[in-house]
Order: sequence, then structure tokens, then C-alpha cells
Amino acid sequence: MNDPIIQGIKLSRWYGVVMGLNNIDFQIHPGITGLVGPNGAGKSTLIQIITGQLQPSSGSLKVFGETPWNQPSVLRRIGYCPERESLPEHLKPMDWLSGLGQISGIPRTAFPELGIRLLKRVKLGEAHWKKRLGQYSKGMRQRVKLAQALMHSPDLLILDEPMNGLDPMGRQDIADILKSLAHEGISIIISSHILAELESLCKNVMILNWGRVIASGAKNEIRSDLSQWAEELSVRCDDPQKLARILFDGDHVLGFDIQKEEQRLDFRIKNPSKFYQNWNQILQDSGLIVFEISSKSQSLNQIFNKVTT
Amino acid sequence: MSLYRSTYQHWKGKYQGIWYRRYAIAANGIQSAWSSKWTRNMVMAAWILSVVQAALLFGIGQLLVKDSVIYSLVEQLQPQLQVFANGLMSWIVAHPEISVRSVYSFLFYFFSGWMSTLSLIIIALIIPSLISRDLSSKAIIIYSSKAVSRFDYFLGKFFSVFGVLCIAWLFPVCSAWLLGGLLAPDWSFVWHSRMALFKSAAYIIFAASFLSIIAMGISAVSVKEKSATVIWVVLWILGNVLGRIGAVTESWIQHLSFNYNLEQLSLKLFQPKNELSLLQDNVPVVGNLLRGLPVDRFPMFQSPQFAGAMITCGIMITLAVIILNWKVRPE
Repeated sequence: MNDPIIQGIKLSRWYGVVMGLNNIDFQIHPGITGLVGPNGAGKSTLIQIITGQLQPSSGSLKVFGETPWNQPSVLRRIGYCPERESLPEHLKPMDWLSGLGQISGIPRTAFPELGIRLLKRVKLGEAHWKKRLGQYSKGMRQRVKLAQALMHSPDLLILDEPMNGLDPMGRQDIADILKSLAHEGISIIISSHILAELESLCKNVMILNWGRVIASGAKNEIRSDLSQWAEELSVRCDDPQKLARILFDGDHVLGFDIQKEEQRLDFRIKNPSKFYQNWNQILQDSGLIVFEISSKSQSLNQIFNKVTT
Repeated sequence: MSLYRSTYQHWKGKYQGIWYRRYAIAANGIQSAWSSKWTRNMVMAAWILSVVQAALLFGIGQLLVKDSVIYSLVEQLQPQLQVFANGLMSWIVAHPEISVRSVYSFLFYFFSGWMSTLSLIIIALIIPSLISRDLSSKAIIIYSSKAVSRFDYFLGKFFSVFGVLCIAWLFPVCSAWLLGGLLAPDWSFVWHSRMALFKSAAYIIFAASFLSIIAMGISAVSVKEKSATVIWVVLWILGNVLGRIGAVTESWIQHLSFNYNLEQLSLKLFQPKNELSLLQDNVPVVGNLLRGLPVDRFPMFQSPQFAGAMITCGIMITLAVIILNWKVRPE
């Protein structure tokens, strides 16, 4: 695996007595990484520390081997597309991009060519280029924000809820752009609560809750870890009704579903640790002939729900 | 297979240095200010004042030219005024080093003061676009993610106000001096008036810097653009009212007005009281004219409360910096 581009060691950030991040250790590697967590999980705090807008209260965070706080050399390699509205409404997109480009150290002479290239890349229709940003729809604003984040050719792109407010076609456009950027070698961190989008985009995920990293790594690794303690099992046996009765009598299940034709019982486990201690004994005592046991395949959404509830 | 590849095309041009990026922030601020018609009108008014000042300087220079229009005008005056004018002219001829210095000092003192009023109006016009707009639109989040520190952002914003004030205040005064020198009958005017220019430049640079920082602080107080203007105007008016109250009650109250504090600096630099004494001592006709007048009752001929003004300016700057540090944050 490539060296991590971001490494957090015992990273904490307090807001008074409130913990934004709580002593977390993590690594983020090149590629597209999804940052998942409910509100208040610490996603925004982490993004702000990565983009050099906040200092950690303790611990350290390195981006490309350097601390981002007050470090223009690191910030130059980062493109940030915030979730919140952050556009000066009185400006036209080209003027705004030109201004931000100059702040990033790109000479004025590079415009408008660079601006045109960027707006085309984010698929903002040319008909809208002359309008002021205040007249833009939410989806168009998201595209302009993405354009400004890409302007200085960052190595790492950080997007906070980039799909918010986009119609399905817009979402697909942005997803395609992000995939092509990743293909070109840019690393991307996406924070989103629409997990289905991340599932199709991200190879790696980091799940945060209450300021802690609950799970981190490749999606399939997390899934594999979780399957050791799957809370939903599917058992094919010669008498699924009998198995259901045994489990119900033993107070092991929250609910079940019998597929008679497939001789299959799907059930949700009440107390996984207790259940798996007794599971072999239950099967042995039941005298059933078991054909197959599988944990139900878990989508990212299910993983997220599992680790955050 | 990892999605990561190293084929990404980076920006191929050379990145500009930090001063270019600070300049970009300042230039965008000045451009934004210039887009307002009212600001342009105020700047125009300042330049008209500068032309008037240059015309007066030209008129003073013409007092040395025997066949000038000024002479013919003097000849048409009433006898008493003719005596005064002739006395003044002979004094200028006899002591150009003192006369030019004093007359220029008075003129620059007045014009710098009048232009400061225009500058305060200009600040009221540009203050919303300074920081309030970045806070209200949350554009500050994006700026702070770029390769500029908060200090760079503040410095850029500072120079955007300072730049506008230079265009509306420093440059017109300097231009008036230059034009006055070019139109003067000889180059000695340029030399003898140098102190008036230096005093004006020192006063304007300090005042513009001070006002720029205060304006930034006020602009950061509210995320509502119009509120920034209202706060600025209210503080300005309130300061003037307190200044009047302080003049007849507790003198320290006067220092709550930034206008008053800048006036004290102006008095310290231009020293109109000393210039008047010089005039009275060297020009008998002026001395005789002013002998009976209670000139000390005029604020401009009183001793400046310089230390108090500088301490209060320091406190005001500190407050503005605290507000900036507290309010201008991306989170």
C-alpha cells in the first residue's frame, strides 16, 4: 500500500468541555476515502484540522508529512470544497475564480483560460458564466465550489457533502468528475451522509462517531471484520421452522423470516456475543441438518448503522 | 489495484510569492470599492479639493511675480486690505524660507483635515465589502483554505482600505504639493515647502493606517453588511458628540472620538500655534491684526493632547485586533 497522505496520532480537539475529536489514531491513504458519521461525529472538525483552519488541542496531524496549520506549502496541495454556502453573491464565477487563483499564487495572466477550463470540467453550462453567483441554483453553486477547489491543481481534494442539493443527473456528473480525478492521481476525501453515493465512489471509508474513529480501512475489510459479529444471519437447513422455534424459545432473536421454498431462515440476533458463545451448541442440540450459514451481505449503509448505533 | 496514479497534471506555471497573494487580496478589495459609484464620487471630490489647493498654492507663488494677475487684483482692493496684502508680499519676498513654510503648513493642515472627512465617508461606503461580506457569505472558509495565512488575509484587507485612502487622501495632497511646486515662480518653493509635505504625508499615513485597522475591526463585528456601515457612522457621530461634551466637562471624554485623536496628531505635526507665532513675530501687519484676538480660544491654536490621543489610538487598535482575532475565524 502507498504511504499515508494523512496521519493522525492521538489527535484531539476540544471546544471548551465538548470533545470534537477524542484521541484518534488514523491513516488515510491515496485514493477516494469516505468520511462517514452522524451530525456531531467530528467530521467537520477533522476536515478543518486537515485544511489548516483549526489547530488540534493535542496530538498531531500530518498532511503530506507536514502540519497543515499556518503552512501555505501544505495548503497549496489541498483543495477544499466546503458544505456551507461560501460564495460572494455579487461576483460572477470567472471573477471569483480569478481572485481566488491569484490568492493561490496563480498569475492573473492565467485567466480566463484557466477559469474556462475549470468551469467546463465541472460541467457548468456556458450560458451561466455571465450570471452572478447569487443567481445560481444550489447545484450550480456546488459546481463552482468544486471548480475553485480544483483551481490550483491540488494533490488532495476535500469535499464536504458535495452532492447536497444536486439532482440525480448532477450527482452522477460530480461522481464522474471525482472518479476521473481519482483516476488522474488526485486523492479525495468525501464527507457525506448520503451513503449510497459513497458506496459507489469510495474504496476506503472512515467512520466517525462521538469524536472517535469507529472503523477505518477498505470497505471490504470493515465488512469482513463486522461479519465476525454479524447481527443478521441466514441459515439454510432441513427444518427452518424448528430452528426458528428453538431460537425464539432461547430468547436469541429479535425477529425472523422463514423462506419455506428455499428452506431458509433469516434472523436478527438479540445479543451477538452471548449468541455466538452458544451457537455451536444450539445447532448440535437441535439435530438439524444445516446446509449453509451466511451473514447477510452488508452495504456501507448497514455498516454505518451498525457501528454508529 | 490502487486508484492512485501519478499522472495528475499539476499547474505548470510558476506560483507567485506571498506578497503577490497579499497584493491580490488588496487589489480585489480596491476593485470592489471602486465598483461603487458613490465611492468614485467621493474620490473625485477629494481630487477636486486637491486642485483647489494647488490653485491656492499657485496664487501664493504669484505674489512674488510683479506682473501677475494677483498684483493687479491687490491693486483693486480697499486700502486697508492693500496694506495687508503688500505687507504679506514683502514678507514673502524678504523671508521666503519662513513664509512659504508657514503658509504651506496652514494650507496643508486645513486640506488634510477636510480630506479626512471625505475619507471617513469613503470608509462608511466600503466597510461592508471589507470583511462583513466575507463573513456573511462564508467565503472566509474558502479563503482560509488557500495558501494564505490569516495574517496574510488581514494584511491584504488592510492594504485594500489603506490603498483606497491613499487614492482619496494621500495622493491628492501630494499631487497638490507637486502641482504647486511646478507652478511656483522658482524651485525654492519646493524646498521651503518640504516640511509641510512631510507633515501631511506622516499625518495621512498614520491616520489612514489607524482608520484602516478600526474599519476592519468594525467590519468584522457584524455579518450583516449594512450593520457595519451603521456601526461606523454611529461611532463617528457619537465620537463627535462626546468630543463636544468633553470639551466643556471632562477632557478625557474627548479621546473617545477617533476624529479628535487624529486632530491632536494633526496639531502636533503641523503646530499651527507655532506657525502663527512665527507669523506674528515676522509680519508686523499680521501681528497687529491678531494682537487683540483671543486666538487661544480656537481649538487649532491650543496645545495638542498628543500623549492621550496616542494612548487612546493604541487602545482602539488593540480592540480592533481583538475583534478581528475573535470574529474572523473559519469555524
